[in-house]
Amino acid sequence: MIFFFDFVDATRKWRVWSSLAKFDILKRYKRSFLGPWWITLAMLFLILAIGILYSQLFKLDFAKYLLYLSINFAIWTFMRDSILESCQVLIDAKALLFNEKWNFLIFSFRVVYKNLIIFLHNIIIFILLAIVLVDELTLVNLLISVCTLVFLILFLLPVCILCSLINTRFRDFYMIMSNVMQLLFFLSPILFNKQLLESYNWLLYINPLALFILLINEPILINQFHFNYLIYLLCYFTFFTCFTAFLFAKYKNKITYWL
Amino acid sequence: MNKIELNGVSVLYPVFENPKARSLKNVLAKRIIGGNIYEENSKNYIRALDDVTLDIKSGDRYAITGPNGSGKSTFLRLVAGCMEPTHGLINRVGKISSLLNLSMGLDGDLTGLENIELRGGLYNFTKKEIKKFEEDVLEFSELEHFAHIPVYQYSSGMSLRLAFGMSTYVAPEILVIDEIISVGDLDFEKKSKKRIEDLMNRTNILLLASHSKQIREDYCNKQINFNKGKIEILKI
Repeated sequence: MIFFFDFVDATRKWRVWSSLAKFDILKRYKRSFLGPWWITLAMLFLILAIGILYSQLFKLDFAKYLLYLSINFAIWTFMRDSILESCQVLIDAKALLFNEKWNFLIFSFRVVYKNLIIFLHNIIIFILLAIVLVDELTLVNLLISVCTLVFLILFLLPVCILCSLINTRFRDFYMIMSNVMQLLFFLSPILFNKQLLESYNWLLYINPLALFILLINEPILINQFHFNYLIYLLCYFTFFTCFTAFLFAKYKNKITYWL
Repeated sequence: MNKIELNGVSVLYPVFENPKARSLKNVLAKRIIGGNIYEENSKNYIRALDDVTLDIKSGDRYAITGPNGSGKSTFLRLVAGCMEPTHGLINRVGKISSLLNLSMGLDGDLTGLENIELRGGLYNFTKKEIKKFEEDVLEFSELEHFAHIPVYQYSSGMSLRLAFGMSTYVAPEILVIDEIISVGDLDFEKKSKKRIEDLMNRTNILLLASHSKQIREDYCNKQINFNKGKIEILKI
């Protein structure tokens, strides 16, 4: 229950985490000419480079592959950076935490919100490509993808809170997670199509991040929606929320001692 | 009615870095600094507060004294709500504000105005309230002409003025201060002294750590002296 009270309280204090996130981004791109548009530009270069090479290696249609990459990379970057940054977020906020009483969850909200803003910069490339390349897109499919994105945000919050808790106590966790994320990148259908997995299809089900990518991109790109992915994700979500709530309630008062 | 009640409160800091308690460093540290290094279930702890029981009521103005490492800062953090005790109970009633670290969240890369906006956000202010906050702080700190310059290009006196102006804006019911009364040059010192006096007069409970006898006598009516985590109440 403590977790849910604090969660609601953190939601109400949206001004706090939104200003922290806003200045995180402003600071990062201070004095640069393009500012936050560097995010968009960097993503464009990345998918162009990968798109040109891999479309030839896999013998794929370049434009279609670019479209596929642009949405996958935007989602993947959002998930990976939220999870990895949240590991360090409490440690970095030491000066703030030692000065007054804080709701610790605010810092995970900050990380997710910051990466959501970055995601919105990245997804512009996909939107522009999709206007040209996607022939038929129904409103229902678009809505499904947007709703899944909202679910992804809700999913990331407890996961990020969990990571911030564990890494504040056990500092090796960040190193482990950055390796795990790298591995998951190659196991997820980001560069390749999921059909290539064939008998390794089970790899999708043990990897909630891959399921999210598919659940968001398939309705728009290939007019498909897999209900069983959603069921799996709901199970993962319930598990992570309960586990985080349990750990948070148990160790909330110890967090400052770990900093 | 604002109050703070501590009942048998102890704080034990775990020591993560050094699993072997018997190193020469620890033995020496134990002799030289006030805090007790303490072992329980083969884990190392520093005992910063030791079984403190205290009732602080509305109208109390406590001066906090004691040598380095005697538990003053831990006590202030505990009262401010930054941390919970490892043993015992603490009950805080009232809106608490603390001036423990004046430059909290002051970001060198951001301009003065951006820093004020960020701090306003941390106070959960609305847009309108932030506007008022900006005007007040800039006027008080006399930094109107420097509002759009990044703080790392401020002189140290200027950034202290800004930090001081921001930290003393909200009037709390319980005020916790760690050794900061005035900042800046002679003219500004008067101004900042007046501002903090106003703030202290508006609060119901004041806890002020200070090594200066003059300051303690001017602002406080009771004194808590810390020694190796234990307290002793003195009259002023």
